[in-house]
Amino acid sequence: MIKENKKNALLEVGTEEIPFSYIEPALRQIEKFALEAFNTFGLKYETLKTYATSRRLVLIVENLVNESNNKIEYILGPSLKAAKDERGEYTQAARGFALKNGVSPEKLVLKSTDKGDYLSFFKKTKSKRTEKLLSIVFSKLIRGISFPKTMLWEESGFRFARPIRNIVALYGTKVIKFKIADVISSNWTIGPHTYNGERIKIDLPENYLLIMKNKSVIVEQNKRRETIKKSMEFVSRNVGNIVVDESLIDEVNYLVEYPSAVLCSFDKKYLNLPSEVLSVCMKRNQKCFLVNDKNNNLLNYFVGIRNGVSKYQDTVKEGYEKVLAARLADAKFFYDNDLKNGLKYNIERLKGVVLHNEIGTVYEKIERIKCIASLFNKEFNMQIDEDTLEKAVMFSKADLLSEMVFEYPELQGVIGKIYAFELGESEDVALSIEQHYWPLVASGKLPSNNVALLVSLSDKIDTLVTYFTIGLEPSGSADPYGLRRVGIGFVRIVMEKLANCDLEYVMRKTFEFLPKNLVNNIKSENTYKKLTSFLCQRIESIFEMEGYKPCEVKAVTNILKLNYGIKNLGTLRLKLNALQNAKLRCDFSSITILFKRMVNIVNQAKKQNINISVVIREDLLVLDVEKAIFNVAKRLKIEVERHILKEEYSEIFDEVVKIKPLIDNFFEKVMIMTENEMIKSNRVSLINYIKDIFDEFINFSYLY
Amino acid sequence: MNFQEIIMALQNFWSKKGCLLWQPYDLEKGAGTFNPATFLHSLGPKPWNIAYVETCRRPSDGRYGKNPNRLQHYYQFQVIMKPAPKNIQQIYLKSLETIGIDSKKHDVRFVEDDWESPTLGAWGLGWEVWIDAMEVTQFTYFQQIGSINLNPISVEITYGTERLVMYVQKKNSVYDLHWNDDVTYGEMCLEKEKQWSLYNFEISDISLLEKHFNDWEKEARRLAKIKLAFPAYDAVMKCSHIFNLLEARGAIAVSERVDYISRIRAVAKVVAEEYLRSITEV
Repeated sequence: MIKENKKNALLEVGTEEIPFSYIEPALRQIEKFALEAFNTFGLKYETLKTYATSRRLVLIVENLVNESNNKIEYILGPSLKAAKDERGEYTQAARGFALKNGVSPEKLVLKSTDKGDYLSFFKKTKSKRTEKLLSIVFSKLIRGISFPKTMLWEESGFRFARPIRNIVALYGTKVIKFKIADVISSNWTIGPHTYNGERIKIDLPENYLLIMKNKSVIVEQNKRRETIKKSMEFVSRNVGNIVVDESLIDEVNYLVEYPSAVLCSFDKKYLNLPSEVLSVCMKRNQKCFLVNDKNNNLLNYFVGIRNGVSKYQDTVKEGYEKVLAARLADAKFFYDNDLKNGLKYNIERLKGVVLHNEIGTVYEKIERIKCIASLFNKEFNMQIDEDTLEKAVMFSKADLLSEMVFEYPELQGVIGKIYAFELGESEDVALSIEQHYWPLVASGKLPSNNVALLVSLSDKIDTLVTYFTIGLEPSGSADPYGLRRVGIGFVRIVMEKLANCDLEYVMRKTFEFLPKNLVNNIKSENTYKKLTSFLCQRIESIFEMEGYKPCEVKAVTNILKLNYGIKNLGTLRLKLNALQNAKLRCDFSSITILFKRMVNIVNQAKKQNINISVVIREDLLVLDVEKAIFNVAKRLKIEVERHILKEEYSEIFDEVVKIKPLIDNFFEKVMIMTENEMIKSNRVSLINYIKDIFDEFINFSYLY
Repeated sequence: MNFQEIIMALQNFWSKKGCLLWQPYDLEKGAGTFNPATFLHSLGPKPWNIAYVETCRRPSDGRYGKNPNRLQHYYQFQVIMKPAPKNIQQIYLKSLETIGIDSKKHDVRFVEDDWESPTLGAWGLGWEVWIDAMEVTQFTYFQQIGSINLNPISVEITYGTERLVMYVQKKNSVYDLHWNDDVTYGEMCLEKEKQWSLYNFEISDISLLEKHFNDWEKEARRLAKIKLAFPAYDAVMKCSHIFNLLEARGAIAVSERVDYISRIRAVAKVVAEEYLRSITEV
């Protein structure tokens, strides 16, 4: 229902086909901008919706009032102190503020706030007619949309994702006039391509969606999406089930204005190709969907979504089938050739593939991975057969130069595995080709095969060490070689599989395998430190992604940074969990206060150049409380070490809780900063001794 | 329609739209874009509307005549309009109608494809045009040529003629296409494809090509320096083709590739700047 002083508004930006991935981000920007603009101008409305096809970005606002509210606001200027000088004259600051608001300083008023009195401007904005405001809002809205890539197409210099060819802007029946690039807004839109550029009149915003539907354009993306699904199900109902790929549907949805499904088939002989290959041929090149039988086996059918109403489907079908047949023939040709050539042939050829000028070839990388993998295997007693390992490493990159990967890079690893199985290689070798790339994304699956896991680990550490050595570590947001992902993969595997290992030795040793031109012991110490702190950051980002608080994460990772060592990574999560538990179980804030107090004393003492020793002199412990606490601390140290060894972290918190009253009592009864230098030094050392007991566990100073 | 009728229909159509019927350029090139009528004339403010058939050579795409779709030598039909007309998409769809492809009866789509020629320092945004999923045209609004920003903007429409004719004649192999009613594409080109593939992949003289590359690179710079933009550009084209030959021969390592490309781009830039200077001086 449209109320009297309210009307609907419509903005349709008609463009040439915008890349599908740009569209949803653009809609979000349009919505955000419109919300903010209507709010700023005090324009009330009931609902605000955005829609898009490949050729239209649309905003519809329902029940938008016909004028903006009168608006009253105080704009704060300089504080009263700063506004007038000793003689009571207005200062430069006050006069500048007045000038900016277009009044004389006398017109400014005083406004009291929590922070004191401020000179301020009492601003009244008179209500304005919505039509007037809309021409500003709409034109700014279009100009404000940002895209990953933009272009010029006419001489005004305006940039957009693709050319804007038409703009509809209405408030009720009234056209909101403005100009963008060389287009003037109107109440005429353009039909789909099949309408030969026919112009369509939009009389009212509320009629827009229906008018377009009658001209074979479904503007509402959700309805279009539903239509795609229903239409696919309908055409395939007698043969099988669509293999639903939601992300492909999303993509197709923004490639069409009116979807209709076409059922097609291909020669059964291609069902012999691996399903991964079939899938990539259909998805990537043709954006078509696969069809399964009841038992989830692929059928020789596929469904394409065409742009346009379902007429002449036979012509379209013939075209689709022909194109796919050519693709499948190519794929079969690559597949047969690759199998004929075998994998070994391509391994040899990796000698000619340069990874990077300074790093050398892929083949040289494989040689390094071999050394690293063997080192890990021995050092951590991973008990993997050396011959198997060597072979898995040799084959790990064997599909990179296959014809299939040349044509379909996304099959890297996957097709190698398939080839290895076909060629009778062992499961370890085959799975390593695929899984040594895992995890593919930060939270992706880790290798399930133990050999693959070791190859993955070795490949990743080699990548990190080589790129860091030549100074190509990520900086700021730039990470052109994807090293952060590699780093995350590496630490995730270590956390899981080498949970209680110290990696310092193997990581340092890895530097010795570097190409001859890069081996440099002086520089590598520095690189090693950079690399370990980079890995620490990756660990922190993993835990933060999982929802742990940054301060908790830092409290447990501090020990790694202290020692520049990647060590006992498996304990980090246990510590974090114990920490979170402790927060629930005990009076955690009083524990942190206690540690804060101890740290403060030690820091203060350091500042005063008081000698802090690791040895506590019992002869200088004069008071009974002191003696008692030292005895407790010695026992505590042993207890905590024992708990750390057994990974009983909750128990350590229990120990802290137990000892807390004693320390409190100590602070109460004992004057630390006493006159006697020797005793003072001994008392500070005692505090330091107690504090240090927990260093190997967590650093409490991040927690208060 | 046979091959030559389709070419004639396109020429006829675009000629009526005000395009000069330009002619192919007599040097080897990887795409119609290399023709100086596109590369150089897209620069500068003067309106420029042309259409022409271009012979293209991509040595690496040769398949010894064994692949029904891939050739090391083929024909593009190239249209340049500067400035780009507002209804250029509609005009393009009309051009398809003249060769029997009615967009009402087919699934016509403009699928995102950003075009870039690293050697020419040229790029633009646009689409591949799909007809029933068959890619038949590259449609690009040039943004930069010879590393120089363009204004006004030219639109480039490049029809893959073999693809288009295969579609119209419903053939599965390029060699079965009817050039006229008596002669097939295979009769005209198959033997050539075999010999050229052999030459490109196995026989060409690497050291001779390397020497020629260096010579023509020098020549391009020398000619640009003495303000002979057109002859200098020919030298750039020669560099580009020699690079393609070397690459097909497997004589360029991955690491060297970037270097070769940036050398060609650098001379292309010098030449483009010199051309632009010469036309603005006049």
